[in-house]
Amino acid sequence: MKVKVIRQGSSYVIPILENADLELDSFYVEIDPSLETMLLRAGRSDTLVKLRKLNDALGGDDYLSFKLKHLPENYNYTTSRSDDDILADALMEKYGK
Amino acid sequence: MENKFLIDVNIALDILLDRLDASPRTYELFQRLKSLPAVYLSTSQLHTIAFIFFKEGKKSRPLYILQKEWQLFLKLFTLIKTPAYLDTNDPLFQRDTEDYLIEASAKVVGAKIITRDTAFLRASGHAVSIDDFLSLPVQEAKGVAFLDLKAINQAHTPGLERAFDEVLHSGWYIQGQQVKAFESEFAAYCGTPFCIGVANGLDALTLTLRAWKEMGRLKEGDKILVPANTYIASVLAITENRLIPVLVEPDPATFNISPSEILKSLDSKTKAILPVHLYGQMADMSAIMDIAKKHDLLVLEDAAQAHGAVIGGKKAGSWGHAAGFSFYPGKNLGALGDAGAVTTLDEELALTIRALGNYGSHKKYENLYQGVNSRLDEMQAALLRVKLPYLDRDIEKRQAVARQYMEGISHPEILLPAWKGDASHVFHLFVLRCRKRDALQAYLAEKGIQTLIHYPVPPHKQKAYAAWNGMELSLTEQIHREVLSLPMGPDISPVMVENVIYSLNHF
Repeated sequence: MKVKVIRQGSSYVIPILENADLELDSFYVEIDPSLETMLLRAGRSDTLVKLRKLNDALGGDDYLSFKLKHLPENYNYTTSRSDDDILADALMEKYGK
Repeated sequence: MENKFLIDVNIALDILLDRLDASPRTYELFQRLKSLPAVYLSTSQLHTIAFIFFKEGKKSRPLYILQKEWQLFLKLFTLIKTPAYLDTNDPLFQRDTEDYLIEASAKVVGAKIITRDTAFLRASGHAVSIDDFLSLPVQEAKGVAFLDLKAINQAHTPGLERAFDEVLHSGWYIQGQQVKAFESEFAAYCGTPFCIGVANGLDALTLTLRAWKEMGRLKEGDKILVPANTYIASVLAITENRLIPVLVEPDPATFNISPSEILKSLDSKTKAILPVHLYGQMADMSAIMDIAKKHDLLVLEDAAQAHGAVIGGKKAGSWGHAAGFSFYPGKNLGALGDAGAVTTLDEELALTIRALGNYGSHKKYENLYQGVNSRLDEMQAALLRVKLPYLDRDIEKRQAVARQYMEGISHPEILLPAWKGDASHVFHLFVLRCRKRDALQAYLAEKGIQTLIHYPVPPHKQKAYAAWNGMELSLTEQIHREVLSLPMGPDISPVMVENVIYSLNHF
């Protein structure tokens, strides 16, 4: 079973359990540190490496430095949706009600 | 093509969302954009970019981070307005109104639009692809302009536009709240109780002398001492009032009127001194005021080039009985057209000047004097109010440029201006002397360095004053043969200044 988790320190919280057929509000899992290291390496973002390189080349840009501080370690932007579709959704959220 | 670019929505989002899969050259593009003096975003694009950025960005970071990131992102760009003058018959407007508005904004500043949108690239002659943009050669600095007024005013664009809109839509264009507010702000800045806006700097001087005549303080034929090496306006104001200018030789170090020469020029008909704070450097006002007090003379400062200059805590414009300022566009505080003002401590003088500049009228349809029409208008006053708060910052930048020149120029045949490094000089102009001035100017022009001469012909050698052409003022004439003004302004970079210094030292 695949579940989405939120990391809290060394633990992971599974917030959505409605369709999991479990009679629990939440539960905790512990992950083997060696496994975690392996997983992190696998999911490390190439974007962040490039972003860091760009920031270094520019001698530390305020905007890029802020991004580097706050983007998730595994950030990689991927989407199959066009800007028009995303915009349409956003506009629907605001005006479509 | 000018080195100006505006980025389309898709490029902005590539940067904001780090969309390297869709646009692998995004970071290369970002790096190139950062090397440009300004990159533009149209205000018409902002809501679209924001909608998509926040919608997508919240998948990876919290809202407060996105908000901060959005603010930092906007600081990377110069925002330009979406004009209201639209051509609804334009094919681009009909095909894609959003693209038309972006193009309309780009046209305001003469920028090309960088986009990934192939339809936009096909439809607009102003659009370029990322690849085309990145393949453009990096432009070498073309040289050093004497003064880049466009760049200076562009730095104030949002404020100037707001001021323009306020006046445009107020329906009140002459003698309104903007002029009143500017007069009050400029008087406070100069440290005088009164400021009267007039049409230009020459009128500021002419009307003050005229007012003193109306008040019985001067009469036709009275002598006014004025430096011989000044811009002709100082002298025109005197002769326009049928007063007699007495041309006084300057102090060779400062180019300003010499107090010892003033003493030599005094006689019983002398009634006033008109010291000029030439090039932005204040004349020796303490000595001049002492002489004036002792001999019961009026003092009218020509402060057209010296807004913000200070001696002993007192600003230019607050030393004499009155002072004339010019806000000609190239001045340290420049309007977007002609404008001027008089500052004074004398209320009666202030009221008289105001009346004289308003057809001689204190009250509507009541005319005390045969006046003229010389008023600061609402638009120029509003624009000056935007720039006034930045005057001191700009002066500091000018002084930093001057300091770099003073420390760097070491050519034995070049004489640098006398400056104590204090606030008495605001460097409207940086003027050096060189016996081979014309050769030096030609040499610098070859190097792409623009210089000017302030001024090539002194007033007494002008055709307008043919009767004085035979007069000998050897020091003034020598100065006019030797002076050369170097590039100066708040926007000149240290690299540009270094370039000028290097060229001068290799002359």
